[in-house]
Amino acid sequence: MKIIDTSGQQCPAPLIATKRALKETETGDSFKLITDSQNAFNNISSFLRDNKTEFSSEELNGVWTFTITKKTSEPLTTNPEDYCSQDKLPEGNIVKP
Amino acid sequence: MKVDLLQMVETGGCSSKISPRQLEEFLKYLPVPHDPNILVNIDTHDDAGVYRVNDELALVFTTDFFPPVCSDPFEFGQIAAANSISDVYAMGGTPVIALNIMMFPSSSLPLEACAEILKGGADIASEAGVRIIGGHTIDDFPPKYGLAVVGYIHPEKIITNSGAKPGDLLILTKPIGIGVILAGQRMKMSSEKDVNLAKKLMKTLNYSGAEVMKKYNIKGATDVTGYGLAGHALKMARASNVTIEMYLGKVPLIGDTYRLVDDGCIPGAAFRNLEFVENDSHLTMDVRYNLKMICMDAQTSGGLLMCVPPEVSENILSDLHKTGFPRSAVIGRVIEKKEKYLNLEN
Repeated sequence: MKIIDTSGQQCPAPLIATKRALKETETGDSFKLITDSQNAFNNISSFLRDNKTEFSSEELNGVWTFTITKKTSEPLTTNPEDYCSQDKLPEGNIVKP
Repeated sequence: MKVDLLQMVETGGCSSKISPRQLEEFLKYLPVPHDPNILVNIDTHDDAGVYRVNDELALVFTTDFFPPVCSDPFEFGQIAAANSISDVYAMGGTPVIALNIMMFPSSSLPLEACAEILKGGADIASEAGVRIIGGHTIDDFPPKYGLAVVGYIHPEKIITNSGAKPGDLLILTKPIGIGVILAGQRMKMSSEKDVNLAKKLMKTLNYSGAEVMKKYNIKGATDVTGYGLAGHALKMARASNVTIEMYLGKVPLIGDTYRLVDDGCIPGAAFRNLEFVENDSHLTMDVRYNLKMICMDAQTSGGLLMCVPPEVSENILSDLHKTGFPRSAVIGRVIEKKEKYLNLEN
């Protein structure tokens, strides 16, 4: 099983690694992800629960190991392009006091 | 020596606020002073306190300070000042005087950097017509800066969290995603263009938004900062005892915010805000996770979120678009109180 060690990394790096691994993993396969950050552990747990992804975790001396399984029903994916904006800069007619 | 303030912090700006849940936990032990001249206190979790001087004049009083959100000291000072002054604008007031609040590590940074932060603050204060008439500096790591600001307001023209009425439309004046873009900058995932836009937005005073609100006699508004769009909408819904419905697909976003969140770049503050908001929120079955988390993203010096009668919403939008807020948009509406304070839809 693939093991991703994010020890020493702060949020949101461990979550980014989790999402990347989920994208690269075949449906039905599992991987392990390690973090030594309590915040990252909480945030990844919240993300996985919210997206109904199957996982378990265990803690040993301040190091958490997730076992994450990619299921068939992946979270609803959307096309990021739909939400990318053509930004208009706030220039020009800014009214000053 | 080139100073890079971002090297000194893991989170800066309004992301560094204590979690709203913890805040509520200890604020309840604080005695609330009783005085008929206190027009707005912490009961409604408003942006500033308001104290009546006489029938024509009340003082709007607020403070904000935080660790750096950007590398350059002068820009940090500008952003922190714009953010501090914004609370006066959100209440419909006119900011008048301010005091500097500075924490600075004199042994690890050159004093010129301290001077640059203060100059940046003075620059924006001057743009707002605010006189900085003093301040206080202590030695501390990492640096933190902000202002305590006093503004004027007419006692009968105060705009508060408790002024949202069923039927009102919800207008947001600045795009969101500042926390995501800044976290992406640390991860080297954000484009320079997006970072520059985020900085420009943070330095933009909410002055013209406040002027528009006064022109149309708006009663309910707040500014969107550390608790994210959803957190501030929730505070407004609670204070007004209404339900606020938000259409997440209509919320204007900065550049590649959605793509970054889709790649997992979700700052820790968004999860803290989610914890605060989720019990009071109803989410439709198909609400997209990424959009939901963007609504939780902590903003620094964010836009105004105003509740406006539908008959004037087009005029308000048009005024905002012409006065420096081209991406202002209607993002929801206020309805009678339902089971939950917030309804989030795609």
